[in-house]
Amino acid sequence: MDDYSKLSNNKLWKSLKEFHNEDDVLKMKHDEFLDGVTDEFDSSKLSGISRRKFFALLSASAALTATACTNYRDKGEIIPYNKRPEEILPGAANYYASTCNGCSLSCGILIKTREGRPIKVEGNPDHPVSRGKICAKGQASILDLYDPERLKAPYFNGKETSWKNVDSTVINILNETQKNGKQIAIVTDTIVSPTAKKVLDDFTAKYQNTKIYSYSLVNDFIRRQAWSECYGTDEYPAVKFDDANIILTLDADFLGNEGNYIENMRKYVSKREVVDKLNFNRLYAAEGRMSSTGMMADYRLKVAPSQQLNFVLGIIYELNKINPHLQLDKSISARLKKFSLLDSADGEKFKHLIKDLNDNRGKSIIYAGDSLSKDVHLAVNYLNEVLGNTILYDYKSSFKNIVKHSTKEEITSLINSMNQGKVGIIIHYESNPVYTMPKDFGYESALKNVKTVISLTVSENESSAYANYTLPTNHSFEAWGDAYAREGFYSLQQPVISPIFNSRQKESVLLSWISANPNSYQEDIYHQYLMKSFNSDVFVKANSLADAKTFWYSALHDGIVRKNGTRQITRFNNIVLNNIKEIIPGNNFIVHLTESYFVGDGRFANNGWLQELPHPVSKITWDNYASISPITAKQLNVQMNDFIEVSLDGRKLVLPALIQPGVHERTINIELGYGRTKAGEVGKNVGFNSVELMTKNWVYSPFLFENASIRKSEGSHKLVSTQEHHSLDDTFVKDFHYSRKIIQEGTLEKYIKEPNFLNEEKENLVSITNEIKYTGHKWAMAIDLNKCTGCSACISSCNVENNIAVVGKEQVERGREMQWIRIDRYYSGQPDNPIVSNQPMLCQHCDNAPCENVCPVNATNHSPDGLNQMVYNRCVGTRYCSNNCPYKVRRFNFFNHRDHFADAYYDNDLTSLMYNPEVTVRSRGVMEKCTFCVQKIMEARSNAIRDGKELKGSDVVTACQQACPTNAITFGDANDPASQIAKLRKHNLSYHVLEELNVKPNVTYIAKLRNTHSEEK
Amino acid sequence: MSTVDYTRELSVLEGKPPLRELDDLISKPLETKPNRKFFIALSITLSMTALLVIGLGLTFYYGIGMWGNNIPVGWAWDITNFVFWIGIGHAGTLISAILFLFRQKWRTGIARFAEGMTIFAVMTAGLFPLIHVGRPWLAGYLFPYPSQNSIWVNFTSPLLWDVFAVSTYLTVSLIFWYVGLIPDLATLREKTTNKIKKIIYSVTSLGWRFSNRHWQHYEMVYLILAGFATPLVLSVHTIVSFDFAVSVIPGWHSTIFPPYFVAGAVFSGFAMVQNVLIIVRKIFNYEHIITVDTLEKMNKVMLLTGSMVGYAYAMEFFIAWYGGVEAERFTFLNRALGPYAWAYWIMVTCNVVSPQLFWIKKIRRSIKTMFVIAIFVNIGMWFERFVIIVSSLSRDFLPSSWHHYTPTYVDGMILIGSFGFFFTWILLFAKALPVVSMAEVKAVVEGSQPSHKDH
Amino acid sequence: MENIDRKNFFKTIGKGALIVALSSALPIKFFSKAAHLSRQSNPKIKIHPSAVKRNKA
Repeated sequence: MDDYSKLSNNKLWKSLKEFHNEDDVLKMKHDEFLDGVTDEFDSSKLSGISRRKFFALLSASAALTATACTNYRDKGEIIPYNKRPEEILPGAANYYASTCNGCSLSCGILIKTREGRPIKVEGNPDHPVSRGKICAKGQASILDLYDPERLKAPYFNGKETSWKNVDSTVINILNETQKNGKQIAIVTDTIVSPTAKKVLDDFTAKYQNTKIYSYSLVNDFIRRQAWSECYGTDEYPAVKFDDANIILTLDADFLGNEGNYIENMRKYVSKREVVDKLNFNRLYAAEGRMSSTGMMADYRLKVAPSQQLNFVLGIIYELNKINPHLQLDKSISARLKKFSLLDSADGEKFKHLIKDLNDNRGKSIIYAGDSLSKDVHLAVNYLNEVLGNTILYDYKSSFKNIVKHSTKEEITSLINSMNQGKVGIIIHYESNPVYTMPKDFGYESALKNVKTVISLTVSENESSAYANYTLPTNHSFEAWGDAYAREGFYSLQQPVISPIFNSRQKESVLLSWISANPNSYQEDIYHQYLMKSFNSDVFVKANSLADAKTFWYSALHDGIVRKNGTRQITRFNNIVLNNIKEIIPGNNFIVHLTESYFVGDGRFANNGWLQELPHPVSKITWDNYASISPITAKQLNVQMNDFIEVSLDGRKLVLPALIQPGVHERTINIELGYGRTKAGEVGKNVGFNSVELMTKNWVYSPFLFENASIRKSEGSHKLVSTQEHHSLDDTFVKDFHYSRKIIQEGTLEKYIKEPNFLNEEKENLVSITNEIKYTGHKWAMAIDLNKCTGCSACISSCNVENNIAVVGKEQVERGREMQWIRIDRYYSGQPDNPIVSNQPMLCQHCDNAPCENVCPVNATNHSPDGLNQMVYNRCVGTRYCSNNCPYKVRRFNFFNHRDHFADAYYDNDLTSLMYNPEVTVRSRGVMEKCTFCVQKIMEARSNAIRDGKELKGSDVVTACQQACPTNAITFGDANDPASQIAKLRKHNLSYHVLEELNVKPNVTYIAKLRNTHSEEK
Repeated sequence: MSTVDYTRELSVLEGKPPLRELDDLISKPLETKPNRKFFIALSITLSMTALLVIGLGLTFYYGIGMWGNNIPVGWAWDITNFVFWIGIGHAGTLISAILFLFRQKWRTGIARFAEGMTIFAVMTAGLFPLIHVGRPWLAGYLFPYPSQNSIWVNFTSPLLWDVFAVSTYLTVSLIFWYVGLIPDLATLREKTTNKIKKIIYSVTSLGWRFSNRHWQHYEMVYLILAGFATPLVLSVHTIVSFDFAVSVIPGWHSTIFPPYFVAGAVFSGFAMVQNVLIIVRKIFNYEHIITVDTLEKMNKVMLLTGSMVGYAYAMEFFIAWYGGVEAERFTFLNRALGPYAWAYWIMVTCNVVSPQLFWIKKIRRSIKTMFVIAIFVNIGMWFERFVIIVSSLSRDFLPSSWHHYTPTYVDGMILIGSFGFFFTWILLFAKALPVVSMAEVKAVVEGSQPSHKDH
Repeated sequence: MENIDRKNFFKTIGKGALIVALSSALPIKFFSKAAHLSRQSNPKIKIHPSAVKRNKA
């Protein structure tokens, strides 16, 4: 046995001491496992939690706590569809063709929906008249669908009731009224729908005591009357403004608010081209007020509305002098005399006008405004005949007159019948006569003598306040309809959403009353009726190869059906010239009432976006006012905002004065559509009700009143404007837009002589930092100032697309409006007839952006495709970026504009549905600005990827570009040499605002050329 | 004829008070209970501070909209107050650090108090960057922390430089002030019999034993810290001026801003320090420590910096005209003649005219007159920042975006409240710590330093 | 004695943490939100069944 085998038996030792078995080691060994050490150990007494278990518990509770810290602010659940409706692809938008009901022009629209909710209204490119464009009101009309104060159920004498009750009771009332021989009156607004007219006819056939009255606050019935007398038809033709070299407008805001101004704008700018070819018309505007058309005019002459007839006669007189070959009717030549009322400044312009009209016979047009007297229209029609301008009349697209506007006599007889108790029931068919009718009709008090008053309306209004039955009707996006506003085509309206509330289509209501069976109502009752009517009137005549159903669906898909309609061109009836009554203009003031640009005839009063859109000329929001000239103001010692009292034959109105450069000294211009008392929280008591100045016994026209007097009244009312008002005479601040090269303009003559005149003074700017090379896309925008009329459709469209908040009058006063694009309006020249320049201003997405450097938290930076980006969730709101922006296009959320104010008006479940889901809704304390519609860029990019194609700059259309009726805005990829934007950036009329700051903005402006003669500017 | 003998160094303190007496005099406020006047003063400042709290509360709850700010005037009273208070802080550091390096012994009576004022002014100023942001609960974004998104702060932004500058300034000033306090805290530790105070003083005096070693280390550290703090006097307000100078706005975009602002800061700071010192010396009977000579020297500094500020005003106007940039020319004309002309002329009268009175020796040495002049200077300097910020923003490049600014009552509450906040700290300071540096003052009493000459 | 105290202490803490963790993970919010939602009248959005979608670009 060796040593190794011995080891197993041997004692093991750890130290020498142990080896030697020393005492202390032995003691230690003995004590190692002392007795009694484990005496107290009782395993049953141990806690159940072992060390292992304890750690398990610890980690488990930590993990649970961690998972519980999930959403620190519960924003609600997003749940995907269980059963996805076939039409909806989440994240993709659907478009539906329909027709806008905002006014009687019935432009074609496409309603964009997301997940079943309409979120935007755009123009329908297939519509022959509006061609894919709609006005600012149309863009903002979507807010009315989501108006929190919409009527949600039928009401009887203030108490909610059911449709069944209403139907049965009303049918009984109708039958009884019929039996008692009393009248059933239906008061409507302008009707453009032939099928609605059919319903009314059927109603009249069923209840034969029915009389239909059509009354609209703003209407063209004088023009129709004049046309009827001249040509035997009241359906006047469209004017081919795009064929006119010379356009003379007489108090006719054809580019702003008259006729189909969307169509007019497009036609007008086709001859204001500087980019692809040089093609220019010349616009003369003779007006008393300052309108959008006046702002655009090459020559603006100050002619008061009461002077217009003499003005026309004066033109004929001068024309006769320089061109004796003009064949004039004897009855006219006897009345001609020189028009002496032009002041010297306008005398030169008048001479140019005469020469131009004579040189452009057959290629010019004189256009009188809807509010002028019939005599002016007769004279203008004659003048156009004499000059051979009638070839510019387009009867193929004339303005239909489905239901004639009721005359004064008809309305008066209605009122008399009402007062005599002979009217048993009045139905307000989406009309508001208590507000729109002149007070001396006495409609309001006459209503009290009518036993049953029914108002069919979307929201409460002044007339429904008198109604026994207030019945909610569908918003136009929930309703079927059609429109035959213009000859040549027929447009359809389809609902894109089932009625949100317990409302019914107004035509359906009537149909169920016609059927006299309260149980007969079905939701698609009018749908069926419309289809039948369509089949018999349109399909049958269309000679289509398809069957009726397919034809119907394709018509709904397109939104319009073209018709063949021709008109007999009739001859001018010279006899009318004998009827032209001259009115000697007095020395007093003439009041001119015009439709509000954005609130219309008052129907949009509760639309916060539209109330907050700055007026194209005065930039005032949330109010109307009396526009008076600076001279008048001085004479009366009236300052801006002072109350003045306008009185006319016993009618009075006290309202604030606005000193408007360019207004004729004797003209006072007041907008209609304000001062509503029952229009919802947003709209009520905004502005001053100028209907109070109207009368049923007008002499001139319903909108013009001679012999008015004004005097300064007590107190003042702060008019809130988005731009500061400076007197044009204030040399301290005069003409900065020229001296700072913000607005660069020229004349056509100068441009033809020296095409490069704009670039002569351009400096070569030196950069001290490296230029960033953009190799891929580089987004850029160009705005052609020749084409911008200030219509603000771009602003309205941007508001809807980007969920812009409404802040209210007080906050606009403090300078906190939130619109991302604005149109700046600059005056220069003389205060009594200024030169006006408009300039849309938005984020310039500067390459060398001054805002990006100064944000301390990097919340704004530049994208590789040239956009200045705003990162909302990083922004802490120091506002340095806005301070450093020389264009001041950044907007700050000073409050949470949704719920700051106590009533949290727009923070409700209904209005929240309107938001564009692609755009963040910004919170309080965050800066925001135009993003060049980055959500649309992303959408186009992902579509291109899906389709496997390259993203082209022209695939992206920003909201403002899409909305602009004149296509003044171009957007695209500057790095694409074939693109329109690249061409515009190099155009010799292109310039940047504040170029000398070397911030390298990417919005190019094309300088405005005015077609004036070389002696003037 | 001047009766000043310039062959001898002027004594800093009047008379030759025994050193022990100095200790007792300076520590007296700390040993006595606050009297009625103190409580009245404290209640006034606390109510002003309450206004601040309410104003801030309303602002946090509702938003910046409670103020008068708008677009284009994104900054108004908030940043005016910020620059105003930071400016006031510069006097203290100049006095305690720069004058130390220049061996100006007359600083000893006032250095401690001035440095304390700096700290409180910087604290007050520091409120404003935090509260003026739209989302103050995210103010942490202003600090460079490593984030999962790899997003850092924007180092090219002057506001960010402010963050660093102000926090550095506060930190260094605190440390400098504290180090200077150590010998005094030790003195108080020795003097006090109150058990709690003894513990506090013992802890805070860090075991100071008055030993030679300690003094040597102390002097070295103090010198180094003074060296640290000195460039801050120039750099901090230079950085604050960059908030404006780096921008493109006419009236802001000007290279004269750094020296202009630093001079202005020293100017307003000295005015505030002078005002408070006049009150302090009267209440605590420190007239022989904070002498009229000292105050006169401070006034001379005010005269110098006031003239620099006046020069800067003139130079801005001249360069605006000479440079020919229309927007800039208009900005300056607008300041003098536009809607804020009233503020501009207050500024010019208070800042340019009033300090020039200090050329007159009698005025320089008259306590009442210099007090009033310094108040005007403070008012004028507040208006200077207001004019620079608000008038430049309300009318800048595009006339279409011009908009007037009017403050709201919340703005007023915060302004008044900031004064309350500041003065509350000063009052508490006066009762908790020695407002004059006992150690330094004792060192400059005539005959306290060993010398070869007399006796 | 000491060890049992320490044990007790940690036991209590562990139990408390457990309770806190579980209660904070409870879907109370969900229930209250659901109750709140059922109380308020959400407008019903339904595509109109007869609407004809546009397929053109």
